[in-house]
Amino acid sequence: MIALTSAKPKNSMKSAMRKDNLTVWLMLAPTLFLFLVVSVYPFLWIARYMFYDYNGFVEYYIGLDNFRRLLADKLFFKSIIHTLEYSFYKLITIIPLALIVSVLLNSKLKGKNFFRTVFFVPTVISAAVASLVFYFIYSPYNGILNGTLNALQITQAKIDWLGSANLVMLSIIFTAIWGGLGNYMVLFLAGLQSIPDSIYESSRIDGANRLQDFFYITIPMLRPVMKVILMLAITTALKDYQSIMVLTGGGPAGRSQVMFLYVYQLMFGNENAGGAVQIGYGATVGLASSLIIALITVIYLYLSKKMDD
Amino acid sequence: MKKTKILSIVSMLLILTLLIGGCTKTNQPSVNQTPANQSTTQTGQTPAAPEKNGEAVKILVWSNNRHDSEYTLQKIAEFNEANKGKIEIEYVIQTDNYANMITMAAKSNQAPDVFSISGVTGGYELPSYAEAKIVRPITEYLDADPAFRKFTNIDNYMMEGVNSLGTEVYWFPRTLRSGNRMIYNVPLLEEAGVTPPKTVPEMIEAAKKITAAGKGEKFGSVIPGQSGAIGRMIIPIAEISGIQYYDYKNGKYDFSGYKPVLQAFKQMFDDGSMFPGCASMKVDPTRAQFSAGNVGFYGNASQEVGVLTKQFPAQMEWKAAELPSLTGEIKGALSATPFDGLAMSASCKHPDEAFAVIRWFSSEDFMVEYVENGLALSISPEIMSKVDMGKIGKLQEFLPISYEGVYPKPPAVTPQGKEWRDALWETVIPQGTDIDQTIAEMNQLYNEALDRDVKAGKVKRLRIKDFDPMKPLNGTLEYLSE
Repeated sequence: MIALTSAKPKNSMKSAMRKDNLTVWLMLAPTLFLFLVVSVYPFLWIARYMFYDYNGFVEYYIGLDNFRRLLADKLFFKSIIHTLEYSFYKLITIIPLALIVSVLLNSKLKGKNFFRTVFFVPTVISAAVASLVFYFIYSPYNGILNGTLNALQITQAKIDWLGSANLVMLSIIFTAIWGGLGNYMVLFLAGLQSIPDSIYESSRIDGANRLQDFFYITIPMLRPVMKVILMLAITTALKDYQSIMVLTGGGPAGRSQVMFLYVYQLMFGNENAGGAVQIGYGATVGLASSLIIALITVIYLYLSKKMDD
Repeated sequence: MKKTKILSIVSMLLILTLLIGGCTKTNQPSVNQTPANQSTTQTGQTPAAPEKNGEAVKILVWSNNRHDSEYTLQKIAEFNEANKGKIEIEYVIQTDNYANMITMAAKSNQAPDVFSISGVTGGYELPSYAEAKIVRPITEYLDADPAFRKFTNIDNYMMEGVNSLGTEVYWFPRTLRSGNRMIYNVPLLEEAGVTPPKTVPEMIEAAKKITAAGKGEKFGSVIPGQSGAIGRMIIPIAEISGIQYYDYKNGKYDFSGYKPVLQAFKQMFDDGSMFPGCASMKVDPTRAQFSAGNVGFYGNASQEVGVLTKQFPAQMEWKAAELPSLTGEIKGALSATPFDGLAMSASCKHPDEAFAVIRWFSSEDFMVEYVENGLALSISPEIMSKVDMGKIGKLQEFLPISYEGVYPKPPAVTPQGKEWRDALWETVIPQGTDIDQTIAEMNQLYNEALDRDVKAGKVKRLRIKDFDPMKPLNGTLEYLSE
């Protein structure tokens, strides 16, 4: 009798687990389906062209030539350096800025909803459209930026924000920060709202000021969220290229050429240079670029885990 | 709980079904996928007989020309009205990434029946198009009607690898885009006390004087750094100075001759004579600045008539002069571009009707008014003889000059590095690269690519032992496999 009664719940548990599994798989099915169709299949399709010289019409088998070329490709190595430079400066600016803005907008500030909207709006504007607007803002001749600097009598010079090798990186990073700040602000706000008020109340009773609250409560409590935000920010920054394509096309003299813009130009042609495409080599550079991003992300995850331990 | 589970399972199944359904190709035939007529070898001089059910044969035409859209759409409406029940032209303008759009459409069996093709600009490679069966030859139609063949002037513009492969003709140009000219702002040059320069040193000086007279608001010249920069003035000036980037006599690339021309433009940037920021500008903003009267001169061809009268109407008087050469002496032909051909898709189901449409687009009915509207110059002497020259306005500034010609297309190779146009342009801009080093790199890169691609059978080495830079198409073209 005892045996019978204990067997019954076991069976029902098993069937419940089976049902749960089914539900899980069914819930996952649409995502898995899309993942296979729009990610895995295109990757497999393009992967074979890494062994071909393919101009979009005719393919010539060239074995490992694309990989040999990759190892000696100065343009690719320059694009890696520029990508890392762009990502580094973007991240060290956008993350602290987003954190500060979100902390301010999480306090009892008057009109905070208005400011939240203002900061978030750029993220819903297409990167290409926003970059086009910035293209006009940066215009040396009659752009708003130079106009403002002239009006404030800071300088009368017609500064070439996008055409100068010294300034171009600063200009594209500023555009990227403007476009991405709201996104990280919202993620930080979500994290901030999960910190119970009671903790801040107890710290007040203990006599802590707001700065101490920030460093000893807010930042430690945000750590799990921050880990995810940083990972997202790193991968996004390394993959950025749309706004750079609109603003500079990788110029001047390749100074703002980043990895995925290089891939794009190889795959779809460079308007300034007659539009010839090299899909085989583009696929090889694309793979190498993805592996670099994967490697950086793995290193980051390893380091952040180590710091947690 | 149970209810929720069932509901979630049903919802998931529904989503999955929708997703799969969304990705499934429907078999509904579109208007253009009506059963194919059998291909015939008739010339299609007159519109073919209507379809059995009385509906007109729809011919889908793609074009990348925006500047003539108003005129073209109006003429097409007239054509469709006149050919009711026979042929109907459906005209679609595609401008962005045009060459890629054609390729993608062809590969997914959605190619238009007829599409505009220039061959010389725009990233087309006729051998690749032909090999991939994207275009089909139209020789049979031209051969069947010698009078029409003569009318098209094709025999003077057979360009191997551009519009013909051997004896097969794939398209004939309808218009002739003039060689580039120096388009200048008349009052600005007068204020600076200069006339259109004849030599490159005079050009540098003129740009300097215009900039000085402009007092920081007007500048000598402009080149759009992000839109075919080197083709605006650098290549044409090199051509008429007898410099080519391909050594036709020896069948190899040679960029060495470009040095003095590049140095001249670098000097203009260093002098501050170029419009601020033009190194990162696209073509339309540079045109807008010229039409607003802020630039002394720029280089471009006959299509600028439409641009400066309709797209960005010029706020001041402007004219076009011949570009200067290095020494003032003309030592080579200036590239004029046979343009605006219409090619027939290999997958076209109604070739006779499609050719009738191609024929109409080049006819007197379409072209005479086209030229009179200042949209382009016709390549056909017969058309030009019927044009009222009083009506063509500013296009007169771009009428053919004695030393214009067409260069044979050098082999299209795949360099393992920077494209030469980009690389040479980067030597002239502020903080740019070194001219000598870049030229040496390009010579090595392109000749290595040529040797490799010839060896692989991808291209043939073009050699013209009796090449004459003043008459580039007149030599004996040899295509070598080594």
